[in-house]
Amino acid sequence: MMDDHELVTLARDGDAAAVRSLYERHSRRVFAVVRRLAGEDALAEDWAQEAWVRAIRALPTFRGDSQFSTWLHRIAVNSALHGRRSRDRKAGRETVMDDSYAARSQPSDPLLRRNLERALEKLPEGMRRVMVLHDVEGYTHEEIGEMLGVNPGTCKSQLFKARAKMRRMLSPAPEDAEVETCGT
Amino acid sequence: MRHLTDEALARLVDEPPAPAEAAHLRDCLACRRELEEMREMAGALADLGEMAPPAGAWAALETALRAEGLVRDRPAPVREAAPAAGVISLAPRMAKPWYARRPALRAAAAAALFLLGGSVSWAVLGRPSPAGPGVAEDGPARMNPVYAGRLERTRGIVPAAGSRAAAPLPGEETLIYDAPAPRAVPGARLASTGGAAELPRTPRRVRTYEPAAPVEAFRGAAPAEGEAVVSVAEAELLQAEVAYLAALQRYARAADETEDPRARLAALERLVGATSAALERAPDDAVINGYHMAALRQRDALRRRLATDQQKNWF
Repeated sequence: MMDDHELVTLARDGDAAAVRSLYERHSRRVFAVVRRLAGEDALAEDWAQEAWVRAIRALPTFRGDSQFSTWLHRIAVNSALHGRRSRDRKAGRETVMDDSYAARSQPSDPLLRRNLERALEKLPEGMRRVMVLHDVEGYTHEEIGEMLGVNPGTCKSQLFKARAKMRRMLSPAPEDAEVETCGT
Repeated sequence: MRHLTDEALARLVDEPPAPAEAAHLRDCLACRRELEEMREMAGALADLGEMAPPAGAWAALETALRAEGLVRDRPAPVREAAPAAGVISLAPRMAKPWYARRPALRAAAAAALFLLGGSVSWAVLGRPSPAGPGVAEDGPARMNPVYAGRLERTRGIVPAAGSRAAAPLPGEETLIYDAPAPRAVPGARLASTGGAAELPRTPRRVRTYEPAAPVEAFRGAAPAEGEAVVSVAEAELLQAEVAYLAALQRYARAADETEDPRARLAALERLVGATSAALERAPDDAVINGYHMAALRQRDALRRRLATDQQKNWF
């Protein structure tokens, strides 16, 4: 089986089979980040396709300094963050991603996972972006600040608000929750 | 005593607590539990993992990519092994000749010879291509000497010099290049990566061809005679293939030697187009694949360089 580098070389020349192979290898990861940032399916489909088109279009500029998966992921994030309005905007610097991403264990409880996904969808867009990029995708506040055009302090503030809001969404009903008094 | 706020707890997932917060957490079970829940939530988010795109996403993407011309179907992978030094191996194609698979290729080869052989210097570069080894200088009709180093296997029938793809005329003088040829011109920038048939440097002139009997004459003939017809046809079509490769090579050389980047780009574009058209008809041909890939790489590199130069020299 060809590795990413070999497939990229062929895909750069427009080889449909190589592009298909790259898609099959990375589409789940691309769709995941785009879907969570979008918060809805229809938008995610558009953004994911846009991300792939942008990536294939930009393949001649991919020098191989980073891994293809890292490069592609950043394009996907940018596509989702900026949507169609800024398709010509240049991609920023790349972040080295954890290559074990695909092998990461998912929450063992399907219900927990579903609840997390639903809670993410309900977050306000600004909070959702920061939370997805930080807690799900592992970007630093500095990187997120750069992507979103805000300072890292603002990014942190948004993340803490997002966590708090999400925690409230995931918490049991008030009557079952821990309450006012402190205990030891 | 007030509990820590949710946002403070959310911060403590990543950051150490201030002294007052640490003191509170020591005394408050509820806040400790809440902080632990918050950490578990953040950890679960980090483990969410991948999501499958919806069915039909690839089909939609492929349509978009094709609409932009970003992808195209590609022939099967190059399967021809590199020949030994100095030997142009035609064995893979002989085992299952292209014309046996697609008879229309013969006509395609003839057309390609006309297109390539006759138009390199005049249509693209606007001047005759430099005469190199094995390249005649007296016009398009004599520009396609063919390599026949391995044609002896086709019963001594060798192709005529010139762009003709069909059999040479009876008694016509033929250039035979029977010296082992290098696989690439030293210093050349563009050569087939699939085993290009480099023109040898020492042709000899012979008269070898005897006219072949018309195919009609062999209808109902004995098996041996039928074999002869097949051999002649095989030789003719092999000539076409070899001549086509020679034309491709000269085209590549023209693209390689010109110093004007615009003219070079034009030559490369033509070479890409010609090889692409040829690959639609002969997708398994290793040599054409090699030329195509090499031309694509060279063209794209030149495009990038020209684009960069244009940006730098905008004034």
